[in-house]
Amino acid sequence: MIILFLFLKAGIARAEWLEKPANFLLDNLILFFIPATVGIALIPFEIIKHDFLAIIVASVLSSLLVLWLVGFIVDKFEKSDK
Amino acid sequence: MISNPVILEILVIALTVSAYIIGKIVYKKTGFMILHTVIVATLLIILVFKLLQIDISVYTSNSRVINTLLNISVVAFGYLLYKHFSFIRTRGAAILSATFFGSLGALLSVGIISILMGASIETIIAILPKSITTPIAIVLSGQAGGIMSLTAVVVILSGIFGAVIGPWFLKLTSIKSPFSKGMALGSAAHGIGTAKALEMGALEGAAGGLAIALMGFFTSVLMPLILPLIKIISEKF
Repeated sequence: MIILFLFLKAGIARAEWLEKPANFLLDNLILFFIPATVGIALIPFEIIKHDFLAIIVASVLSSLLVLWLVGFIVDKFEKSDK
Repeated sequence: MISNPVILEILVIALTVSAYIIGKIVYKKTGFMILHTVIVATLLIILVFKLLQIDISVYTSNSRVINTLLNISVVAFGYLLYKHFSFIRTRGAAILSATFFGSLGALLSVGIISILMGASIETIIAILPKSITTPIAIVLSGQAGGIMSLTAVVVILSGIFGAVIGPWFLKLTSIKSPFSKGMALGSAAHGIGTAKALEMGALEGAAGGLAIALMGFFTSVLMPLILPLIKIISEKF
């Protein structure tokens, strides 16, 4: 990812070449997730049951933290610019 | 039973693409976030295998082509970063510090909460990269020895949660500027959050795309550094 970015910056690769394939890939990216999510049916139910509550609580709280933290930091910068 | 691996791969691709198209239609028609394309497609495939009484491992072990494409697709985020580079030039300090601390905050909060709640280390590793885009999250989880399919499911559910709750929560915390909102949604809910941000406006959408790429980058750097610490603490508990 970083190498491609640097190549684009340096002009070794041109953005026009990549626009269509990159956009197509990004638009239909979720198709590639499916085999990974189907694999959830293979995980022994006991493991998920044991950690179920921890997964939910950690995910919910951390999502809210990231939403607030990122929004707050960018907002602070935007205000100090004005 | 068919045992030719090439035919199995082709069948897996055909089944996945069909399930994806059906999922996309169901999601578009209903508009319910929980009927997200990936969720509908996943349930459909599991249902098909249950009905035909075939072991699902036949599907997962013959999806090498799609998994390879998933790994390649990570590179496309380099393009995304390039496309929105003008923003980094003008608001670099805000963008870089927000996504750096966002990544750090996500990793630490997931680690600490799941340790306190007694989750096993395999689960903790799997859910650590939950705020970043699925392909990068799966790769990071796999490299660290986490359960990759758990990562995929948690990442997608977090994305849906962030996209549904995000706009309301940002209003509650009085985060108002379009750019901050887009960055927050992209950081907490990756592609699904960015789709929501794009509904709010083009600037929000671009900010979301930028946040996805940079959260992916910082989390890839920070997770291997934080993981040893989390392993030590979780052993003590």
